[in-house]
Amino acid sequence: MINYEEELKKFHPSMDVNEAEDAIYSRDLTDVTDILKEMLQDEKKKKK
Amino acid sequence: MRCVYCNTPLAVIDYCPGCGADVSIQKRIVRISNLLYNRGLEKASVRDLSGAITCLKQSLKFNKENIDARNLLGLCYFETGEVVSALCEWVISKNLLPENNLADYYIDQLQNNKNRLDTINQTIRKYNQSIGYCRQGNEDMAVIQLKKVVAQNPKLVKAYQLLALLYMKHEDYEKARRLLKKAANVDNTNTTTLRYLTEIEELTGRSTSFGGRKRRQETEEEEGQGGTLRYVSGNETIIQPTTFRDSSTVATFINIALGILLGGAIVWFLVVPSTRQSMNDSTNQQVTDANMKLASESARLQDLQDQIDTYQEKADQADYERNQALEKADSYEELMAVADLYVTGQQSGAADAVGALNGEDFSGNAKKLYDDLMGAVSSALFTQYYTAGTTAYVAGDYATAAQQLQLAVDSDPQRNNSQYADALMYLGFAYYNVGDTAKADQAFQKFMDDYPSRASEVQYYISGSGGQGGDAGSTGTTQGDVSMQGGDTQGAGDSGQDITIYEDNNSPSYDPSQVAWTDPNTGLNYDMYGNLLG
Repeated sequence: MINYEEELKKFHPSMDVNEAEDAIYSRDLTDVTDILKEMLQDEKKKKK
Repeated sequence: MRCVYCNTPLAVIDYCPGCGADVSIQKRIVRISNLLYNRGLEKASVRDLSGAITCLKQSLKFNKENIDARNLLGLCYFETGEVVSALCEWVISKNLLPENNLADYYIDQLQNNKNRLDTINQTIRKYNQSIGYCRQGNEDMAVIQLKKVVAQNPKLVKAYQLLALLYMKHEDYEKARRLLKKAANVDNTNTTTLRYLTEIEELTGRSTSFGGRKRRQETEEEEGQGGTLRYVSGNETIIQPTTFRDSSTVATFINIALGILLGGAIVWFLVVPSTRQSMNDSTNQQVTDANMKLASESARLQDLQDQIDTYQEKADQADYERNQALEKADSYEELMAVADLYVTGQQSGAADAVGALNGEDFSGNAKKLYDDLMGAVSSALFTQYYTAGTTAYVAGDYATAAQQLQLAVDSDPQRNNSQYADALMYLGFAYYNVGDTAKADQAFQKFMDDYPSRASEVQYYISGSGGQGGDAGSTGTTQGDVSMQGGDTQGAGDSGQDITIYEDNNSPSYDPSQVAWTDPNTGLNYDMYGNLLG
């Protein structure tokens, strides 16, 4: 049985055009390759 | 792709050509990203947009520089109504690969149609406002706003879902089902949509069918392809026409002939009657117009004729009045002439002239002048008529005597003149001698009425009185014997001459030629003006 109140909490406001710029700048674009690079750099530092 | 160690562009092999490092892990990561992109593409192609978005997000987690995956993710967002999210992905994609990027096309499409972008932005705001209304308990307001949202942005799946949720809360499940079906047409594997639909099916006990429309669409597509039937037999696609067509030359000519006949029949049975009917209607209308025009002209002619008659009557009346005025003017002229005669002492002429006038022609001062003149000359007029009458009587012209004496009597209706009684008496005798006994009796009767003391002088001559009758004057000294003499009266008149004048040689104190009349009773002589002679 669907609970209206609980379902309503799942709906969030969408971004409008004015908020697009902030959303783009605040986007976390880190991917697995970046994590791999960071791990390699950490490994180098440990060897040194 | 570049080496994570030395940033050297990598080749096909698993070692970096620059530093010789093993880049197999890096390449595996990229392959995983590509694999996820492929899955996302497959899901997107069957409108499994939620699944596609999930795969593409994962693909970008592995390789953020997977431009195709990012562009497709933006396209999936755009298709579900999340235009701003799509725009964000396309902008990031453009920043990662400024040239030869499909995101340029998408961004241009959005920016070139600013009205469309504004409308979508407004729908997003209304959607956010609806969420606020729902949380505040203003569900009616939320329903109104969401209806506007789905009307303006029919791809916004979240709006369909929220509106369906509101309908479900109010137990309007069929409306909710229709909305969720529309949402499923946009994104057919959205878990929220499917969950709501399942809930509705459980509550209503009726399953939701999606195939009707798709099947209808497929049928339309088949019919739209020129009436051909396609099916796959092994590796071959067979296209078979659904109807057999004979395309021989004879059939073509037969078809043309049939078409011509059919066209002629249509013209003959549909166009010609309508044309004929329209012509008849036009003719009838013209006839009606002509009749109406004729009637109006006739009425106008009658009006003009009436006006002519009226003016003719006025003209006749004016002519009559003009003639009356001219006659009156002439009467006035004659009245002035009479006045002139009277003033100059020509009373005889004035009497003649005033007798010719009609007193009814005058009014006002002219009438008073006429009456004065009439009164002044009436005596002279009476004497004139009286003298003329008695002269004719003496001469034996009784008709003239009767006429003149009648004028004398008529000219003095008030009996003012002293000789009125004689005039009346001789008038009776004149009529008597003429043989007009009726008028004679009338005159005698009037005499007897006006002068009863002298009735014995005439009553003998009244018809039926038992008197003498016969010719007046034939009996000598009888009352009917009238004589004009100097002194003696003798009834010696014969039947041819009633009045005999005897000369009196004893005392002719006046010129006998001046004697106009002798009173038969007194024997006195009078001139033509009534003046006593001697």
